[in-house]
Amino acid sequence: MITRLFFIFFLPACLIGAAVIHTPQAPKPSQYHLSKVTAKGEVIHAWGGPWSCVCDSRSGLLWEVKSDSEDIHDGRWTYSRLLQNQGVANNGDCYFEAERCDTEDLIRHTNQEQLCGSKHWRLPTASELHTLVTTEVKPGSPSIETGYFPKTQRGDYWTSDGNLPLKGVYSYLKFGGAAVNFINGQTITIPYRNAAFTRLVTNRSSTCHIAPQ
Amino acid sequence: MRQHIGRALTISALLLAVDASAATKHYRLAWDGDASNSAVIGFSPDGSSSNPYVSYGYSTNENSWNSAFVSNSETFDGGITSHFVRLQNLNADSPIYFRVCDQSGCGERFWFKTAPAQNAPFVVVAGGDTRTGHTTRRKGNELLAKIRPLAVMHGGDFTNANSASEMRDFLDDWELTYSSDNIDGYNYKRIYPLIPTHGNHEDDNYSTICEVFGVDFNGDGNCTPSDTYGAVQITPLLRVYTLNSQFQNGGWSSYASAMNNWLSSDLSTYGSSANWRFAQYHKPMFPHYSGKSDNPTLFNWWAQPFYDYAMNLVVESDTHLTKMTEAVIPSGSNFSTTTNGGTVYVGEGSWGAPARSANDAKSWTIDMASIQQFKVIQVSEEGLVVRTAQFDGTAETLTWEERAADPLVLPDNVNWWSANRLGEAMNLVANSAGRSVIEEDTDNGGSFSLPVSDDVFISSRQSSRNFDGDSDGLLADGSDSTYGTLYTLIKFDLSNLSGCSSISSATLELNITNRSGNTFGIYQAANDWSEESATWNSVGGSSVRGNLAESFVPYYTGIETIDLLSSGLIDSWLSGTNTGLVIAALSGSNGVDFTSKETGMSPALKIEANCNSLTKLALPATGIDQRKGFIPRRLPAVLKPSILMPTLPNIMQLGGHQVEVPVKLIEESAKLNQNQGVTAHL
Repeated sequence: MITRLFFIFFLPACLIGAAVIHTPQAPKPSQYHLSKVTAKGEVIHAWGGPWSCVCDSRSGLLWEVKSDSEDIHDGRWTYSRLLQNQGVANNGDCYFEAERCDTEDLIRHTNQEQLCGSKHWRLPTASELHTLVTTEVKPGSPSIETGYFPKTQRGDYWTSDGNLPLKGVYSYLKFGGAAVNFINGQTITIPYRNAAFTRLVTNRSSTCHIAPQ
Repeated sequence: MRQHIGRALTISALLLAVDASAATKHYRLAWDGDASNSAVIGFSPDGSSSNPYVSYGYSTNENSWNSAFVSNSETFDGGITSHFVRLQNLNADSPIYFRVCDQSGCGERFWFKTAPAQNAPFVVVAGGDTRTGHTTRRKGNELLAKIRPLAVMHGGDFTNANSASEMRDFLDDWELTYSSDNIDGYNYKRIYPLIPTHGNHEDDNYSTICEVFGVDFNGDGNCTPSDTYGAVQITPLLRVYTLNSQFQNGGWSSYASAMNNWLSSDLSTYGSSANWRFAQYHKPMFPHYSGKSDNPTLFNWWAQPFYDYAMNLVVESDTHLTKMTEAVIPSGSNFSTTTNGGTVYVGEGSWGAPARSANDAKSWTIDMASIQQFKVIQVSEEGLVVRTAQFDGTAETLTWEERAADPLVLPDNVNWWSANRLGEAMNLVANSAGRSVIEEDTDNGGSFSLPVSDDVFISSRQSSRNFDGDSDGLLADGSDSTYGTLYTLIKFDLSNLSGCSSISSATLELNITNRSGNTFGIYQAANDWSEESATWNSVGGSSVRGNLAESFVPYYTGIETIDLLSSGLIDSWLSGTNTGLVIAALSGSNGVDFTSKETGMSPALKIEANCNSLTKLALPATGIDQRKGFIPRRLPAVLKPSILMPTLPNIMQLGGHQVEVPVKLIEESAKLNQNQGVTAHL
């Protein structure tokens, strides 16, 4: 009788009790490494908007987000590469300048407006820009998380890496700058005079830092 | 005094009349047939305009003018009504003065010039992609007005959304292309005939260019997608072919078939009636921007007929950059460079639309850049001169007197783009078959490049494999873990040396992509070979190395230059068999990589020599008598394939389209009027 009671009541009760005691806590979703930041520098929810910058907590870099509003951040504008007097001025098409456009024009305007609270915007290095490349995209889409970085073009984006030897048809121009191609994520060297896209970055913002591991 | 007062009153009255009669606007002019005797004037109502017509004549004396009435009216995107007046039987090489009139009177004074009937030289402008970038589009339009060309080729993408509002903006901006003239005391606007092309941004309406510009290439009186292709004869010197690259899209195969049949038959029958043949279409066969896909369908349709029928210059658009290519010949699924006459391709759009990164050079690309531009082409019996005009305000303005005095003159201070090797101008002459040869100045310094005819590498470990066109380019190595011993074989086309009396310099240029500290030898190849079939076994393995001519160490990536003159290698080729050269390691196992003609910049042999000029212009051997009859604007495709086949062996390759003739086009041939002459009824 006692044995029967043990199997019918006591054992299940013990098992249930043990299960309750040892139930692991619900997994806490890990913080996604990208977060949206408004033009004023406020971090907003992943589904929120509008946003003007994206913080990558893996790198601590704050990235410019492109638009289609024909303002200075329009994703269709192209720029020749000019950086600290190295490169070619005014050989891209952005339309917010009286003349044509170069990367220093975008940097100057973006710092003047203190986009997302920062006035330290610059061209990214090739390795920095490469951190945005993702290969898991739909065919025909740029190789980047378009949910966070809309209006990204399938094309070349300037980096700050310059003074690199040009090859092939461009060898006569001697030196050019590195660009990351958001078609396949490759880094190529193109002449400073090329009209390429540009996405600025800053590592000096009050809202974006490397997340503790 | 009374006379002066009377004249002043008359002029004032006329000015008032102009203002009071502004019931039409957006004047445009198009060519779609024989430019020496016809043109289409288009305009839109500006308010209430009833029974508009064109009053025109050959002088500014309006009492002598005739009237021409609206032949058809079209509505574009439900918002732009256009009336078109087709002027026919005009005198060649003549100014045509006209005003558009309606119930309120006559509007602004315009004039244009019909094409000469003789081989008189002229200037044309060719560009495309005006769809966005209004600021630069306007700058381009203003530059056009300064240049005063005889005609304008537009490669499509007039607007972005192909909407009525955007097309109104385009037509507003197009008014900037008018040149202002004072002729016999009257203010006139010089208006330039446009030859329009259908671009992908017109894809929502394949009748856009006939609805907006009134072109009726097939002469059937209807505005349909069949009016997106045709030929314009601009003097006996030039025949311009306009094609629709968007017919490669799904659902348009029957139109593509009809277009390609027409192209083949027209090239066969009338192509040689002109000294020069140009083609324009929107999508490049091989865009020079990696963000755009190649268009092998267009290559399969047109590359071979272009070569076979000596298409001299092809103007492509869409990519928003500039390029200039070598004269090329189709080779497999790509082009290869030829110095023996081929087709030159230029482009690619950027008449306003934002420039894109010019990042996808081909082995046959001379140079490219991300600029806002159109091409300015001087056409003469002796040759073509192709320049790239960048858009800024620096150019001087030609007066109508200057243009009248010199049909080839160009304004001072145009911001011409300078291409590598060519400088500001690409000079084209025709060889004996009528194909284009790039003429480079060999008199000043006497420097030119011999192009590679064959280049390939061979591998001892994969001794029966041919590596022609391999993506690794060209390789040489003493001992590679995968390939074993690697040799590169290179052969140059020596035909340009035939007219040279002495060679003072010969320098081999290799574009090194993977450097090495080892020494490599350059040998004369001991036996002949070709890139399509060369393998380690077929060339005799290591015995392909003949006499050692030179050696070098490729310490750096980039261009490596090696003097070959002192080796006597070129003399050996010229006096015996041109077997080419072999590059092989003299020591070590750290190989060297360099680009091939298929993967980038091809090896080159730079020559300095005293040479005769290249062959000057000659008509294709199959030419018909020029100007014995009118050339039809578009030859109806009534020629049967069996007739075409002997002269166009690759006709069956035209995109796999059937070569049957659409019944509609046969019917159209019967509607051609007498102005199109008996040749239209072939």
